Amino acid sequence: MLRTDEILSTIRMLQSENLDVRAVTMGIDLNECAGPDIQLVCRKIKHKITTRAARLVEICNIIGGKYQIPIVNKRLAVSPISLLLEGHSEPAALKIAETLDQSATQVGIDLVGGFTALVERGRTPGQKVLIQSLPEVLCQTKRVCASVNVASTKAGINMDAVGVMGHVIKNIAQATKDQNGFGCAKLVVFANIPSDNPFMAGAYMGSGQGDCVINIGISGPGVIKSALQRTKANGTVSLGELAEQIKLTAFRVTRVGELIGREVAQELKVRFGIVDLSLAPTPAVGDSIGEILQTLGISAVGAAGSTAALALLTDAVKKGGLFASSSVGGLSGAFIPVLEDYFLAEAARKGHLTLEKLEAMTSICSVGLDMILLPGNIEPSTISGIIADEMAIGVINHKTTATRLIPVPGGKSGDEISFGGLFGAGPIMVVRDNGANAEFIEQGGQIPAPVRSLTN
Amino acid sequence: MAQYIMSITAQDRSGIVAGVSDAILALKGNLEAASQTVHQGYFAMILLCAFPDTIVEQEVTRLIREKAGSDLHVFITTYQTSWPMKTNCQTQSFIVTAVGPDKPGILHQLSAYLASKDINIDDLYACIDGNDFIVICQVSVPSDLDIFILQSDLDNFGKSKGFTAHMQHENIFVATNELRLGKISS
Repeated sequence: MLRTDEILSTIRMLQSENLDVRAVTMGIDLNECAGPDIQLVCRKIKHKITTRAARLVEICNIIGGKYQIPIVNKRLAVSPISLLLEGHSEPAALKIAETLDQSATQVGIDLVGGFTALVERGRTPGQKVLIQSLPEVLCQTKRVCASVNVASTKAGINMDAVGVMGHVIKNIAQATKDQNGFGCAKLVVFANIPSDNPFMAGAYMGSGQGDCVINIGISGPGVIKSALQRTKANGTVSLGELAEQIKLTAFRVTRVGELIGREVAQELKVRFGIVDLSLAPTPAVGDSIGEILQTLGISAVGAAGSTAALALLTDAVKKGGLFASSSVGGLSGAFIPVLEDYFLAEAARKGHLTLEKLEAMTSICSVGLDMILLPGNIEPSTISGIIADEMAIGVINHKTTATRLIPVPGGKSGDEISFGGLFGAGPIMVVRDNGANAEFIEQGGQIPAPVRSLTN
Repeated sequence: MAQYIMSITAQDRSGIVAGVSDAILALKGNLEAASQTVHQGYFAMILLCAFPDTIVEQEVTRLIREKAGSDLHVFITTYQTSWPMKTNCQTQSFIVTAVGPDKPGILHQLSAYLASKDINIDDLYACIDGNDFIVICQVSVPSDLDIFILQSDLDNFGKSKGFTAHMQHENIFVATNELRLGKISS
């Protein structure tokens, strides 16, 4: 038999340390649905989704039950909808979005990503239609998530698109003002968008992945925190020893995701794609990245040392995860969504965690400025400036970075906003020098690709 | 040659295996399989041995005690290759764990429940940890049984008897603790 202490430690991970599979995301390519008749396009979309994903929820429940591991979210990610919108206008965008919404509802899925445009060098007519339709789409639909890739290390930064997105985000917030701008929580702006990310709102089905794929998002902040606490309880330890413990724990957590993912894919007769190693927190106590940083010795997250601590955590998770799985992909970084992590939200409330420190963290480890509440009077140019800064970090460092910014209509810095459930609650952040970058943004054009993009 | 199953129990000390194997060798026997553990200070071993047809069981017991210690408890029986109680159905390996405040009857209640479902216990470990009694069983579950129903039954059964019980496929423990993934069956 397996060693009894190992059995008991696995049981502890599952029962009392919040280990779960955070997302099983089915990617579906919809490009074959393209055509000039939008009604026919929508019928084809609905047929393909409801056929391919008919048993996704059922199989996830069966496999999760077999191992008594919760599979928290079952999601869908489709190929970029902008491709289906070539030759169509804005009403078509809403029709497709509503079809995605209905299809997701029919198969029991709560979120579907892929309302996506990849515009790092320029925008096609279909991509312009998609971007302009975002306020209406994200207001009128419940389940549709959108993403726009405005930059890449190979292409540089499309500052025309960045400028447009500042206005679009403001408009989405206004369109959903009854929900404190919640529509913006369903839009991510990316640099170097990954084609196989299983997490919402930025998931989409990239090209080259075939017709259908299963990608997995694991989670386990609680497991890692508990492992660190047990290590520290045994006596004084060095940061290297703590990193080693994180690595070992990340190995075990990733193996859970790999096992579940391969079995779900096998049952559905779909190719297994990747395991995303990102530690995704939730607002629940004990499921927090902030708590891990606190356990590492940063009592006020955002204080000096926070970036180094997060770098230690992210690197150790990647090392453990890479050994556990030969199919690692997606974002595989540190998630620090302020609203979705109660400890980070509290640090922001108290002024320890600022927008500037969050940006510093994204430079080496975090995947972006995520679930950031902004004052309602923020200028579109300042939103664009925040995006541009984040894109520059991703482009220069050849990593994925992203923004999920939520201007709250009528809201001021320090106001508390709650979206409830997994979306959490937190304060509106302080934004300095509102509008001081207007001339920079208005110039538009393309910030060229950096010299390190020349890799041949 | 005739095959025998032997089980040996004694207070643990060095030299028991040396003495037992010496006795087998002296009787011109062959040790074909063995498993041994030390639990709570006691040595326990089960062996499959082949001896010449002329050997009598009492002689084996006598020589083992002479070579390994007169306090040894030795049980020996003819090895049967057909098991009338064992079914030929396909099974999958699960790990059943039960934890609860220590009181008489937990293992009996759990094992009786498993037996009622024709679920065989292949391996078992039990101990007291503080005030809790912990049981871990590796079991073979017939593939035609509904796992969800079993898990629900076990959960309700445990609650009614005052302990927490779980049943999970062994692959999850293999995946998180060993450098292999485990076999995925359709």
